[in-house]
Amino acid sequence: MILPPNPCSAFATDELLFAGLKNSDDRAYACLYAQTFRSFAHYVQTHQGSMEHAQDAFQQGMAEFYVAVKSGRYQLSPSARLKSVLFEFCKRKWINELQSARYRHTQPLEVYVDRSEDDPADALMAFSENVSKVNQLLRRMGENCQRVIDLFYIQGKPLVEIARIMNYTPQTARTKRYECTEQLKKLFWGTGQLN
Amino acid sequence: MALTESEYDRIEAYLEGTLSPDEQRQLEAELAADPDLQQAVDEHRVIWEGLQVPVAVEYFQEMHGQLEEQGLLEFDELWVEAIDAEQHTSPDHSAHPHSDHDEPEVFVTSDPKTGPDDTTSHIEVAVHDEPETPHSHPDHQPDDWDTPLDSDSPDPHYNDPEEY
Repeated sequence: MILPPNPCSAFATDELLFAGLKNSDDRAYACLYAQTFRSFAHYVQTHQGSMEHAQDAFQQGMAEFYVAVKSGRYQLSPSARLKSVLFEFCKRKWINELQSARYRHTQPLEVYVDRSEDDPADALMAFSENVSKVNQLLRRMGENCQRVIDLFYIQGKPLVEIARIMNYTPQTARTKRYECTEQLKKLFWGTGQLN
Repeated sequence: MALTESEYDRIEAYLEGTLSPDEQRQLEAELAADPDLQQAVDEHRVIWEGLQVPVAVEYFQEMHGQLEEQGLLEFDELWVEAIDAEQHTSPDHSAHPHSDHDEPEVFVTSDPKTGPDDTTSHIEVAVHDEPETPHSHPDHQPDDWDTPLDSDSPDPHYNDPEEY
C-alpha cells in the first residue's frame, strides 16, 4: 500500500471522499482513517481503554464501515459528516464493549450517547451486530467447514488450492464451500443445527 | 429459499461487483421479477458481508502501520497540552475569530456526546490564520493535514480533485 503524503488531498468534499470510498480507493480510506483515529483513540483512552484497545476497536469499526460502504448498506448522509458518523459508530461499539460482561463488574461506566432520530450510526450498529453474529456462528461450526470458509472467504484462496490443502477433489471443495455457507446461513436465520 | 449451487458463483460475483454491466442488468431484472431469488440473495449478502470484515480488518492493520510511518497518526503531548490549555482558558477565545465555535473537534474528554462534528468552523480558522505554517502553532497541529475536506479551504490544491 503506497499512500501520498496527504491522503486527503484528492477529496475536497464528503461527496468526493465517499466516491473514493465506494471505489475502495486506499487514499480515501487512509484519509478517513487519519482524520478519525486520533479523536477515537483519545475517547477510548479517557473511557477505560488503552491505545491498543483503541487501535483494535477502531480497525474493527473501520472494517465494518468499509464493508457496509462496499455492499451499499451505508449511503452518504447529507446531515452528517463521514468522520462524525464513523466516530459515533466506533464510540458506540466501544461503549457496548465496556458494557459487556468483560468489564461490567470492574468499574462503573458513565457515558452519554447522543441519540437522534434517523441517526446514520443506527444502521451501522445493526449491521455490526449481524457481522458479529456471522463470525460467532462460524466459530461454532465443524472444523472442516470453518477451514473451508476461512480459506475461501478470509484468506481468498482459489478452490483448486483449497482442494489441495484439504485433500479434496476440486468438485468436493466447491460442494463443501456451498454446503458450509448454506449451513452458516441456516444457523444465522435460525433454521439450522450445528453438526 | 436457498441459493442453488449453480447460482452461487454468479451471486458472489454480483456482491463483489465483478459482473459485467450486461450480466448485472440481467441479474437485477431477474431479482426484480423473482422475490424468492431476491430473498435468497439478501440472505446470502448478510453472510458474505460478515465474512468480508476479517479481511478488511487486516487491510486496516496494514494501513495503520503505513499512516503511522508517515506521521499522520501522531498523538503528541504538545498537541494534547495545547488542547487542554485551550479548553481551560475559554476567555482567551474572545481574541480569536469564530471563538464561539472554537472547541477542539477531536478532543471530547469532558463531553462524550461531541464527536468530530463539523458544524464548527475552527479548522478553517486555523488554516486561514497561518496557511503556510500549519505546524508553527501547537493549536493548529491536530487538524493541519485534514483541512482538504473543507470545501472552502484557502489552498487551491485542495479545491482541484482532478489534480491528483
